[in-house]
Amino acid sequence: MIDNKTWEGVQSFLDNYAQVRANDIVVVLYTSDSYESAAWVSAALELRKIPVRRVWMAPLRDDEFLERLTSALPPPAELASRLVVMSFERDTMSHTRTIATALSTYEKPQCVVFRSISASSSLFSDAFRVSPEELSARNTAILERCMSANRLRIKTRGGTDLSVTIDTNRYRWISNRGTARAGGTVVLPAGEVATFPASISGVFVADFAFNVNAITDRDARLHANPVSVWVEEGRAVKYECADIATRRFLEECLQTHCAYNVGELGFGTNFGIDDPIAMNSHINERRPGVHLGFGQHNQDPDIVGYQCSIHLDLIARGGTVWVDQSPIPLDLENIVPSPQLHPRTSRDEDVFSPEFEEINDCCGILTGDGLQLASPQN
Amino acid sequence: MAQISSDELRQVIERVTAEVAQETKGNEVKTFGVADLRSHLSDLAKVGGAQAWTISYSTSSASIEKAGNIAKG
Repeated sequence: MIDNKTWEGVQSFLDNYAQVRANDIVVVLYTSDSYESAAWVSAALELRKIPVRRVWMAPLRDDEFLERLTSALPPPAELASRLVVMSFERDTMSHTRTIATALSTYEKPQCVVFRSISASSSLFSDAFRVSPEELSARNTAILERCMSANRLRIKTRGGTDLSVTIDTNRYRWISNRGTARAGGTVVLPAGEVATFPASISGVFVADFAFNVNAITDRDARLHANPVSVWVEEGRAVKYECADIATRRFLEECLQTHCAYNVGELGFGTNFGIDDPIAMNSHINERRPGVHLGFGQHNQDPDIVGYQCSIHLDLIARGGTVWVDQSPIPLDLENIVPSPQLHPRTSRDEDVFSPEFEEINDCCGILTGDGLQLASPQN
Repeated sequence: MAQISSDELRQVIERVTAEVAQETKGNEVKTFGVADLRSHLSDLAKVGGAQAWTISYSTSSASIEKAGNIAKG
């Protein structure tokens, strides 16, 4: 039976993220591993008297999914309000192109898509407890400091000490805050700001969890056996962990071609998440704190000159970020929300170019034109 | 949303959960023959050493995508 906190998270998802209205048509997509999430959301919608159409999908490979999805969708002309598509999966993010194809007949303002990975009780009870507005205000606070920075010094209670160079003109910032835009896709759980570090060196101690883009039953928590990684010029050159099995796992990951590269410097901002969960999940990654993503990076290929199949996030609990010469650091566990609007750039809308299947993990802040805040800092 | 008792709420959630569980089972039976299910599970097992999602990008503009591995192809 669902507990109260999880049920409240279901309500928060529908109210704050999807913002469902009485005459919306809701389509819930789900894989077998996430049928409970689909059921909780379906029950909540039933109680609101909002009809729901469910479509089951096999993860990653499902030749009949397009047919099932298409038959569940209403003709565009019959939409009185919005088509709200919600998907729930545990380990995968499947059928992106198929969903984009099926929804391509709808006008942008008619349709919004929410795609959740790491579907579980914790997704609702922890991650969805915090609203997109709250996440946006925290992401903005970090971006206001970091997008104009040249150098960061990052420390954690666990022993991390990293020196980072930021090149905002070259490497874009990513801000995942759970905010929906017409025609766009929101990837959930939300709560992260990230970029590619122009240079990074020092020691990183992951004492919270890992998140890897593979299906694994391995316990993702690292609090009992933290992982220390020594980084020189953007590459992992040495790593240690007291747990032999974890060390082997790291070895397997980091031996993948190019996986020793630090492809992402990320700051989690979802303060609804406190303790790590055992499941390999994005929930752990969104926890307030610093994380490094090894391997696959988040930039265009001509900007960062390598490609990698693996993305291994190593996540620390909390973190303090000193920005340039400022004596006042950012405490990632106590971010003061910004009252300013979230940063935008002149190319922000390009994110939603219809000829591409756009899954926006973020607002897609391209900073080639330099930092542009909608409401400039004073 | 109309106010309902916790008992009624529990009953609705249990009923819908049972319905979705049944749907799930029905879809699995319909979609997979035994051989296909094995094949599908085998594919997923391979993913354990590969990727179940990916960070990808649009080369036309600024976007970051965490999407299915097919998105990268």
